[in-house]
Amino acid sequence: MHCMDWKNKLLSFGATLTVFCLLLCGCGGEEKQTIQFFAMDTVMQMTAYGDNAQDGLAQARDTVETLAVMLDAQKKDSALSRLHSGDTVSTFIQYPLNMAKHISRLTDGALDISLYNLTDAWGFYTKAYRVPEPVEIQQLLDKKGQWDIDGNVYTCTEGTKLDLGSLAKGYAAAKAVETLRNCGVHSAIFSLGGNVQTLGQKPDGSDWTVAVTDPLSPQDTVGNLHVGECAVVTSGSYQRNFTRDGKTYHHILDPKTGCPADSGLLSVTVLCEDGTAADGLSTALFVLGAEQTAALYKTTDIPFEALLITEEKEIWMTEGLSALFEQTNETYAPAKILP
Amino acid sequence: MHLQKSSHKFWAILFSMLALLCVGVIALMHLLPGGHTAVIYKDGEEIERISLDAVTQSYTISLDGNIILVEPGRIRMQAANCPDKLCVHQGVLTAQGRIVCLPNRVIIEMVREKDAPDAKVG
Repeated sequence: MHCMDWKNKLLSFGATLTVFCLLLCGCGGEEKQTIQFFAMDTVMQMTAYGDNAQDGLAQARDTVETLAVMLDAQKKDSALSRLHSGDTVSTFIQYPLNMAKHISRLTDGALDISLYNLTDAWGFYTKAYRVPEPVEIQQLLDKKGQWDIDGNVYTCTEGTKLDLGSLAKGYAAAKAVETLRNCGVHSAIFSLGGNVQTLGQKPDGSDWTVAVTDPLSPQDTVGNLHVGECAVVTSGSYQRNFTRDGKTYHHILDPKTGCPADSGLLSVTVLCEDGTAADGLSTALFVLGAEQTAALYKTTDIPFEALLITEEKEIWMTEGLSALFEQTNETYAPAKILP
Repeated sequence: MHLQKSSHKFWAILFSMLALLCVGVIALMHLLPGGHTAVIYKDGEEIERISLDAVTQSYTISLDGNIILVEPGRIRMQAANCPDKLCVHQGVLTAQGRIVCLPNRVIIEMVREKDAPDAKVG
């Protein structure tokens, strides 16, 4: 009998050890899945964690690709282009259109999605870049038209042509996160052509680390933002530009002048809960500049945080960002809080 | 009584085999490279960032004076025109670490993904 006792103990020890080991094996971290594909003229990278990651990512990719087709300003038969032939506004397009209208009002027109013909005149669609004559710019500004949306009814004056490029990636990212969440995924991070969108926290419960591009040396970074679930979007003059006669012209046009915005900024990074708003605001703030961003920050009804990098190599951040930003690049002066 | 004894023995062997298997799997998981990114610097400037787990076919990167061999999960300095060839003799990087070719100012650095940011905005 004494012998049996000893054997039983050994057996239960063995069983415990086995169970413990099995548990340890299972704790190798939540499975990570990453996909990469091309859409909206850029590289989309999506990473998701957990059991449903693979299925969720496939569906999230579908969401992005569907929206890419619907919102394509250069395709004559896209849902966006068909608005001008009197189509009712599908629910998918209502959200970014309403957001564009909202941000445009909030920023006194700094975001304008009806600059298609101007952008085209500068050659940013075809990459056949040119500097239009001031007369041509003025003419295009004069006839760019006006538009409005009320429910599913879109109205515009003759000649209006929309381009949702300043909100499309942010909107696609937000919808893709919704898709992933519906698939039971709780942790994911996307970079849609440099637009970052997160879902939940990292699998270990910690914050995500999002590095901010150095506008003067885009392969480098200026520092890291430590964030939970949100969108982080940068608009910068380094992203798309061309040089003519020694002068560099970038793609963010100021709706008031019809020329590349000249507000003294190199880049604006916006952090916002709403991906569509983050995208649209980053463009608008780049046009507005530091001073007007500071004013808007106090009055906005869309809560946001922003990091501005100026031509003078200064980094300005809104108050709420000071706890989230960690500067790593010392070629810039230490980041200061926007007054 | 005899029956019970042998069934004990059966379970004992099964458990110990399972335990051994698990220890093996855990050890393997720690030894295998995972989530590794190699960053190549020339004159202090980052010129290439490679996710080594995504590499399926070997290829080389030629720099002025150095040839770097990129393989699935690993990276090495294949050749160099520097006098001492210390970098070539350093062999293969499969885990965190760096190979430096001081004369040519080339650095291959292996970083674990957990230390790198999760995304880059811009």
